[in-house]
Amino acid sequence: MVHEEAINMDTDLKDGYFDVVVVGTGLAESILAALLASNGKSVLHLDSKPFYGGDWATLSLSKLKSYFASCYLSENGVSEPKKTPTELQDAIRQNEHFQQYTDIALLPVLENSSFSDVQIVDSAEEWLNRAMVDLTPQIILGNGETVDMLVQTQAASYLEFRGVDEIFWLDESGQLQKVPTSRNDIFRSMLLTPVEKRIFMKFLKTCAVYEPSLFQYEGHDGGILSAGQVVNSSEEIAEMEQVQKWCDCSLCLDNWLDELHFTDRLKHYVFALLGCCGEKYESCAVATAVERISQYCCAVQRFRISSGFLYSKYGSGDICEALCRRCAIHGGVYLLRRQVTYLICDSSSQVIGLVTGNGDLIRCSVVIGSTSLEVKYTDSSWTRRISSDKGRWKLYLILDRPVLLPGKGVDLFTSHLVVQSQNNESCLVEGIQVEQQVDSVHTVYVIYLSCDDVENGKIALLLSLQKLMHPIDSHLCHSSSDLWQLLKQFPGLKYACIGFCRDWEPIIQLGHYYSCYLTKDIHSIQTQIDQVFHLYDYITHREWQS
Amino acid sequence: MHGVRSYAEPPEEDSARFISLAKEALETCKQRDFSSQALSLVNRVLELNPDEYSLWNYHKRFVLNEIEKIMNYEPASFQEAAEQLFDSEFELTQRALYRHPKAYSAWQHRIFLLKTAKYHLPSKIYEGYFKKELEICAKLLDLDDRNFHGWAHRMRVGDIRGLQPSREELQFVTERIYGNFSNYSAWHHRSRILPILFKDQRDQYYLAVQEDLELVKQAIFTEPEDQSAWFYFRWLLRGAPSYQTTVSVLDIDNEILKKELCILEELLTLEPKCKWALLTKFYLLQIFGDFDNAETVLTTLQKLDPLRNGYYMYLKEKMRRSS
Repeated sequence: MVHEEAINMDTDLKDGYFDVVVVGTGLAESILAALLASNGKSVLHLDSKPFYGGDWATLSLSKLKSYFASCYLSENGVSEPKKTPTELQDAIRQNEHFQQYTDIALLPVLENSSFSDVQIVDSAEEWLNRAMVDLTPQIILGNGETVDMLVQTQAASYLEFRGVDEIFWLDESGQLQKVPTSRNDIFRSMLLTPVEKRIFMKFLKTCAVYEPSLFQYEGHDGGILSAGQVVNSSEEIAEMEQVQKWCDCSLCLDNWLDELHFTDRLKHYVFALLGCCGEKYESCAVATAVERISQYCCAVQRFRISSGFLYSKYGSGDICEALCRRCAIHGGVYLLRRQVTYLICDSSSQVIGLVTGNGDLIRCSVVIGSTSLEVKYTDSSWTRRISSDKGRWKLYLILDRPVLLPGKGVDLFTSHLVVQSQNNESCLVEGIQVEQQVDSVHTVYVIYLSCDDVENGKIALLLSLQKLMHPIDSHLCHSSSDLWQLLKQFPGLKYACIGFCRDWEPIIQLGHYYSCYLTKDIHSIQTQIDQVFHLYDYITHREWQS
Repeated sequence: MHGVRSYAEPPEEDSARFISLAKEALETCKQRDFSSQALSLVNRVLELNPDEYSLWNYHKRFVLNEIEKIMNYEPASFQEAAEQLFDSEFELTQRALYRHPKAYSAWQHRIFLLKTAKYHLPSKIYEGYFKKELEICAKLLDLDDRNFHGWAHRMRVGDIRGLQPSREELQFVTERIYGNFSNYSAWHHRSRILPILFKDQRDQYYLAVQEDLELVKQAIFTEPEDQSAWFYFRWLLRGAPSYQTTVSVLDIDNEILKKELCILEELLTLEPKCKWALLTKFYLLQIFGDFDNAETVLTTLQKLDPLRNGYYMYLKEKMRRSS
């Protein structure tokens, strides 16, 4: 996975000038790098880590272990630069390219580690070290901006995808309910009443009309429209009007669905589908929900897979690597294991360059970094930026048997859990199970759970796991340490790791010290991509055409 | 597949060359020339265009001719020769059908081969052919579950074999319907095997019809615009009659029909413009003798579906005369 030649590549960067320097090879940064390079900008792409992908990387278990070990050791990954600030100041003054600037300021840059509170259970055998784990697994909606971007940048030609097989909803009693994803699923469902079936089908079909590209994909029996079905133009117009009316509606999603006579079960389905698209049911506007559902319907129509979601076959890190490869083809320069230690600013606080970990001076006009980067603004105020109170608890599990049955391919589930705390708060837990062939003999199931509730997330994750594994006696334990003990006794457990991944407060200071920031870990690329395009537009003064 | 022309790819040779080949092949047919050279020419034409029924007839004559020739062999060598003959014939039709899955003559040739095999070969061998035939049908229906040739062939194979449809066959159809309920052929197949399956068990048949009413309800609520389920629904409401028996299972029992009318009303509150629901409602109201309401339904239909105005007028007229 890691390109050794890129690490050893000792490019002479001493007199280098780049239009844009991108720090970090996470997903959003990689997209920007690929877009900018294909637009003709000269791009330098740095990462302090020895692999591509940053917090979106796909690591083998052995590398994952050492990655978490490094999270333990250093809360802040500050490495001492080879030269002291005064030596650097001198070096910059002597550098002919910087001579035009009279007043130069050096701003130290820190890189924050995102994981904290990591706990590990490890009973892995030697062969398991080859199992691949995504740090941030990505489920991509098969139709929409993300797919368009992957196609446009041609990164898709390096990638292989597998379809998500089933989507589940974990109900209060710990039973897994399958979310129907096509007309046949709805027809077959034993749980839905005929009236519910009609309401849900009508909802999907009306939403589907919203997406203009729907009709370019032929109907098939696994989709929403049946094979050979032609939508009557007058009907279509009526449905269009209906959709428009929906989008203009000012109700919150839940009330809107009430108006459509949705039952709780149907609401859960919408909830789960939106969750897979990266949207939150509570805060999602009706118009956004309609758009997402219509994109989803179109994706089901487009790919003849049982659901409209895609998962990168070799992990989400593969997407970052593919994008970086596109960037490199357009002349982007790559340096791994290279930190940024200082930003160089002129008197008007405009970034004019930066200093890397081994003392290289690089001139540039824009620096893009993720929010885990932290800049000390002036010499006097070395204030540690307060991390936001947001973040995400993540649980990685490797088992030798599936938790979600039948456990073929990729399955998703969402669950609403009420955690026994003072407020009896409810948190949303999202999960992915990926069947993985490690070698010719062994198949493992990698399970990712995540919850964005900072306080109760850990308990919620462990509770939902317990519910999945023992649906009957899920009322047994409450405290997180008990649950962790319990986890160790789960049958088939090979490796488990739970940790908190912090969201750093995004600061967007366009044209200032940092030219721009990217918010990190909004979990889903679907919701982040608009921001990436916005930055692209800002830097190139040009709109990205999909 | 559905809505797609059955002849997707044109013949490899240009048409002029194909026509000359076909003419040559037809000429050999006339002369009853069964040499291997003539055979390979005919096969070549058949693979390009399996609709040339004269060439299939030539093949039938060839098979009969061959069997006559090998009749006098020792049993062991007869078996071997016959097997070889049938295998190559089956393979030829398979190649032809692979190219054109909807060629009637090729399907007919397979039926001929099965019949001949049953007549001439020991049961051990022809049973194998029948088994294989059903497997091939299942595979074909996996590829295109709406190919009615596949369904019809399945039925005919059973007939030739002299077996009644079994519960497994019903299960097979159920699975197909679960896979895709917009499948007229599958519903039709179901309506053919149900009456035979429960021929002498009226009570069980009654239960099966009720179960199927439940199944079809799921389909019409999921997709009320889909005709195929409505046709099956109508058949069930008529009392699931078969070709052999005119006795229907629901004729005296109006309770179920009343229940179904309520279900239709429920659907019509959700989908007031659903033509098929209205038409079925009309049918039920007519049975109950509620002619006034039935006429109102027809008037609604005339407005909703002006293209079939004449048909609804005819239904009105017919109802008036009978009442």
